[in-house]
Amino acid sequence: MRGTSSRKPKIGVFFCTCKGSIGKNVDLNELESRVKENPDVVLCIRHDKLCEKDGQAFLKDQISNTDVDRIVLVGCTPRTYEEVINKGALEAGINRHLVEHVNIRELCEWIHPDEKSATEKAVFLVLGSIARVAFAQEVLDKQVILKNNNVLIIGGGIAGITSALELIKNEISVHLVEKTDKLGGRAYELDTQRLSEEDVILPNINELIKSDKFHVMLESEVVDVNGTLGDYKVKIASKDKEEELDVGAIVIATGSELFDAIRILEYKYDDADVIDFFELEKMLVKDEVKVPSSGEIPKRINFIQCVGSRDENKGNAHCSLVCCTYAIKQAAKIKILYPDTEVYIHYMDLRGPECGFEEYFLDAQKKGVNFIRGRVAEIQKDGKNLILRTEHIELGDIMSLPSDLVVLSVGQQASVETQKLADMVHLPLDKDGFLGYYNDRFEILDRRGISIAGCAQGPRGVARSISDAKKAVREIAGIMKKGFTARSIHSVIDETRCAGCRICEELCPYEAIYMKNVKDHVTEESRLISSVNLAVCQGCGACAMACPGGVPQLIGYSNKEILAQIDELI
Amino acid sequence: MEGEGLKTDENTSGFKPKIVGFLCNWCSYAGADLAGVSRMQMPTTLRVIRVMCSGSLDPKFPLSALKSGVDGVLIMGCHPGDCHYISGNYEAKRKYRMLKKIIDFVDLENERLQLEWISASEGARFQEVVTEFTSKIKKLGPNPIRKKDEKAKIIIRQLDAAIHASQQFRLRSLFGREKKIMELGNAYGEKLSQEEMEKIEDEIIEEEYIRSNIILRVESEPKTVEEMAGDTGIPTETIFKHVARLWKKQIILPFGHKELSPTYIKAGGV
Amino acid sequence: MSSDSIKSALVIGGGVAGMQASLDLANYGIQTFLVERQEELGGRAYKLSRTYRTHECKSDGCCMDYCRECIFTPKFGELFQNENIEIMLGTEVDDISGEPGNFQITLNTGGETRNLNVNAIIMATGSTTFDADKIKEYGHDRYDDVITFLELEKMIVSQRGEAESFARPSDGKIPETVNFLLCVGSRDSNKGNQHCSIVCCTYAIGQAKDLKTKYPDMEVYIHYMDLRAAYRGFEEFYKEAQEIGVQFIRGRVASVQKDNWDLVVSTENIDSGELMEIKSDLVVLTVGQEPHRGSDKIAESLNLALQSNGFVFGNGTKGIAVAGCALGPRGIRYSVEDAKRAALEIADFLDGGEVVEGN
Repeated sequence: MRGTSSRKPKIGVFFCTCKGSIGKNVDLNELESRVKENPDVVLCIRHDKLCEKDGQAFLKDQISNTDVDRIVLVGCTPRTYEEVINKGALEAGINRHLVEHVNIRELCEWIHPDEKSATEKAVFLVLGSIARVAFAQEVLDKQVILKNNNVLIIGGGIAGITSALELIKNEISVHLVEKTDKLGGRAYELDTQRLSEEDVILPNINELIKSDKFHVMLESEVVDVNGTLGDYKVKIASKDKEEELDVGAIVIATGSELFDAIRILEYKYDDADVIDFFELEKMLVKDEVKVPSSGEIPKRINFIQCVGSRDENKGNAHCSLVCCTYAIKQAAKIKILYPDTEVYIHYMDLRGPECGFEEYFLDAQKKGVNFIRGRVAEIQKDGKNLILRTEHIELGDIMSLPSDLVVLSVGQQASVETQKLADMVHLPLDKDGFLGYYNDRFEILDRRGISIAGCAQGPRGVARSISDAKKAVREIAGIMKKGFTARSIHSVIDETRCAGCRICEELCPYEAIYMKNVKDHVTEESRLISSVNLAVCQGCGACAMACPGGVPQLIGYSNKEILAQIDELI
Repeated sequence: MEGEGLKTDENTSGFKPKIVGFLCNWCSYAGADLAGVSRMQMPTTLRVIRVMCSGSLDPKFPLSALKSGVDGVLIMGCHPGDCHYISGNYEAKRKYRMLKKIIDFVDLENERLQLEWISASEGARFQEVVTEFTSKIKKLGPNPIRKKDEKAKIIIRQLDAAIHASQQFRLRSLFGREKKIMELGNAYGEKLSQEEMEKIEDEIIEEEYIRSNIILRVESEPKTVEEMAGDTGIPTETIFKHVARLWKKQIILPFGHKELSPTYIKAGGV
Repeated sequence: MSSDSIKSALVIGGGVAGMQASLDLANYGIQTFLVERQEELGGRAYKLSRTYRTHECKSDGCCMDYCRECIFTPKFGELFQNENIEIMLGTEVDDISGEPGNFQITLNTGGETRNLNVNAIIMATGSTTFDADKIKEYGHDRYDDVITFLELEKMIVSQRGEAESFARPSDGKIPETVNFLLCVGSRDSNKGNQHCSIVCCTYAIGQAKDLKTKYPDMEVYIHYMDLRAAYRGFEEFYKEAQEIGVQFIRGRVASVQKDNWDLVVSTENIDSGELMEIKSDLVVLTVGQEPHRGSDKIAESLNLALQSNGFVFGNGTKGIAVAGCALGPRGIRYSVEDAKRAALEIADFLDGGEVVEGN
């Protein structure tokens, strides 16, 4: 690494012409000659395409042949190639924070057809960056090793179990909290686990229980979560006691719950012969279907789809995605078991998120399952018989269908536990109450050490939950085992200057600032000062702009650098 | 710090504003990129500084820019609710209100400062904002500081005081805690409404601005209250009230006498 | 396998799945060869003007308008820079032999052959879109203003930034009525494929929303059979479209014909039972996905079984993983997830698969 002490900076300026696309409106010769007037600039050179392999080689070559210690790259927007070029510079021995990008393509060349004023603007942009880079400080990437690398998994359903197994495979200790008295959740009770044509192999629970890295707490619930990545303190309440666990990361696999069909009075779920799909599933596991009230084989079965789904007034607004597939497979299996039984499926739209759904649908039609489009209005009881009143949208008719057994395909909804937990760990919920959209910003997720797997982020099938859990865990396992490199841009607090006013602590949107006790270097008394948790800091700079003393500074965006740039811009 | 080339520009082709733009990396800078990719033409007035978040902008930056002679300052961030850093743009909005208030005390139009929300997809809006702001600044005329006359000196002094004020603990903690005070209540458990909060803020901004004026006046040489009032154009009574407070806080101290009036100096000065 | 020898893998296909898989493999320290038949990487996803809201892949989540630039350009950069990756464009796989852990590959670059030995293979050959010319009734081969959704995407890309975009091909006018036909070549074994392509509903609604937002007076119809795209957030997406005035008509369109100057879409509205004829300035055929030609050959040489719809089964032999649309139609996001999973499987198999933190 080259010395970047207080000596006069030696700045190399590289112009990239972007294969000739820069240089028509901006006069590069004029720009170069103006830049060369700056006494700090020792190298001023042009290339066609710095982002490509030979450009990078050129860059490295030039840097190693001269004694430049900072570089300014003039070319396209840093939003595309900043990382690539910074990496190249790093390989040539220049710290990534000593590289400054000037965007004269999008901000000049392409929007200002007038050559004179475009060049003028470009000159000031480049000079501003030269002034800025002169004040830049070299900062090496920091490797953070975590204090504690146990993982807590909340929820013992299929996502939780898969996560646990994957973590144990990586030799990470796992604590699993499950609110019921057994592991497995819904997935192990399903007959039709196969969601696509791929066979889903459910993980083996026994294998998990045998492992000495696995600690399970049944009938327990998380009541409080404090701390941050590498240092979580979690309070867990069991039946008779409350204990505190220290873990490094958390996997939320609280799953979803099934809609309670009793909420829709018209469907008479309290009647013995009206069951939900999950109850039917339990019968199908045994390869027999009986009418609960009479114990006979049903002659007519009606499936009602979207029970509690896609209707804000009576249930949830969202679509539960998997119910159509379940119903179709259940119907097809009933047709195989009892070919003479009439099976009707009442649907709104038939939806299957996975490839292969169409084939199931056609297969069920071939087996003689009847599909009727329309919302069922109500179920009436006529003596012992159930009668469905429904509209047939395609015929435009109102129909009355007698039925021995009615199966309600209830949807999934966010569980209360998930919502409580989201509150504890400060995660936003989407409007259906799932942790869904949070996962899209998975970068933030990594750094906080909280991963979400399975139905807690929205309804999904078994296969998706498993692959989901594997992915969630992969990210956590890496960090747990090896620690991680802190973000290159983060906040730095000068301990000697911090007064401990705590404004930054309150303001930090990521709770990345914590207070720690230090001995004052003058008075030798102990006092509280702010400190940055590099695991969590995202480099937003909220602390920098709030501090009355200007103590926290964002690497590469310090007051000095920006003020220097402002001065040069006009 | 004035570019030679621009000076001649000004003389030949009329006034050409110089605008500094602070663009947040995630939305507005991307919006500017999109405008570039889409070849949307616009005035060459805007000099861009990329910052990570509009909320990371120290109030000092726009004020320093104005002090160094920039004609206008544009701050651009993500739309409310879209901040890459959860709530940075709310902070920016609060700071912006404070900046506007402070600039009101300075002999500069506060329209020279503007906050805009521009998302990554709003290239056209970026073009529109830059064009409109440029014509607005054109109407306002060049920053009077650039004339380098007596008036410019006064404005520079005022801006110095404004920058000083913006760095004060009282202001920063108030704005830093604004959200908390409004949502969770202050130390006494009182929750303040938006209007109440703004009223308090306005008062404190004014006080801090006056105090900063006083402190900067007496930084290097002792001065009487009348001298300070003369320098700053603030009524003697107001100055006197604040001098008393600052003395009590030991920020300024009595130094000696000029004729019959006592003089004051900044603690630790001279 | 000894741990000090350098492990290598071949990735067939340079679409999003292949790109992501190569990057992940390279990050696991595996020497990766990425083979792409075309002259550029990115596949079909790169041709889209953007990925619609419910389809976003690796984006930072703050951007609501996922233009492809921020997704692909850095990815290309990463790929070309990565020393563990060798990219071969315009190259086809001629032959594969050997067993897991030791495959012999023959590659063909414009007639030049090259032999490779690799330890594992990821198949990410993707899918292709249905050829709309095959359905004569819709007139894609006859009328300029009957286009496929990919052609519409291309129009959007090329007209990006212009004040008046969506100019129709025949005369450059902004259409006043646009009809979207869903399930073209899908869910009909007589005229096309039996399977459902899953993502087309979302694309059509996204495009329709774009049109309607830009030109609120435009009449936009979507002709559908079932509205399916079963993603999280799709229901809201669909409702938003309804709210801004996109009209949904249930029914298979019988034909698209030219009546003097205008195109006429004839269809039956199943919900109301009436026959409708809608004059249209632009017709967009939302064609489905189907297995890539040639992918069955590769599947065969890899001992991978085919599904009834022609796509590949994922659970094949050890040392071989499948990712992306080769497994069946899917959106960008699932393809990326698939690729991550496939790379993980391969890394596990090669046992050199050290878990590296993904950025």
